[in-house]
Amino acid sequence: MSGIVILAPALIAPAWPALVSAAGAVMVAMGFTAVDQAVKATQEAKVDSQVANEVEIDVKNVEEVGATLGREEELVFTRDGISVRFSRDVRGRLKVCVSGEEHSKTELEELGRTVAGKVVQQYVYNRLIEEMKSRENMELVDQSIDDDENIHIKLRSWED
Amino acid sequence: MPREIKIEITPEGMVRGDIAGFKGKECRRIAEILAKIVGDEVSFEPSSEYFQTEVDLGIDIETDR
Repeated sequence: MSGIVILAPALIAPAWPALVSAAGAVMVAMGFTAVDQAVKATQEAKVDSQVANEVEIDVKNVEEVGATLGREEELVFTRDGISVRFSRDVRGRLKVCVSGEEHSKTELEELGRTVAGKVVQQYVYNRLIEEMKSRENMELVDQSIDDDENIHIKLRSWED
Repeated sequence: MPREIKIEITPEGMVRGDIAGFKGKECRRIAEILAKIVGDEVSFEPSSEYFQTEVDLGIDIETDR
């Protein structure tokens, strides 16, 4: 063994497409379905009329999202009356908004924090595999997820 | 000899990288690359292999094969 490094995520200007990819993978795994723009407008009107509970979560360890995301762009997923919306706030930071008629704000906030964490986890996972392949020619040889939802990966290369 | 990195990513995105097979400065270089990819380095703990150095004996060995 050569060394152990501990790292905290601080995603600087992540590109929107990469975040979309991570968010999509996480939300589908959690049973959510992506909503297209036309359907979204109808659902927003419906949610407004039902006065749903809504919470907003700032994803603190994601710095300003890359300029590829327009201010009006957002990504929406739904499941069982809950809507999760990813967007960029006026400061350019990633924001997760969770709303649902039959759920308390506490429940929605807990879900929002779980989702935000998992998107960061998935983004870090994707970046580590891509970057270590391109920079160090290291291949993914094993991966698993434990009961606490930690992702374990093993990367390998051979000494020249 | 294989070079391996075992990585654990928590649901909050924290990363623990167990770097093996990289000697000396190579190990530190890999830790710095991981930090660039993920964000901020919280700690780095070298093991005994970290302090091994690569020594070039200046001997070339040729075989018939």
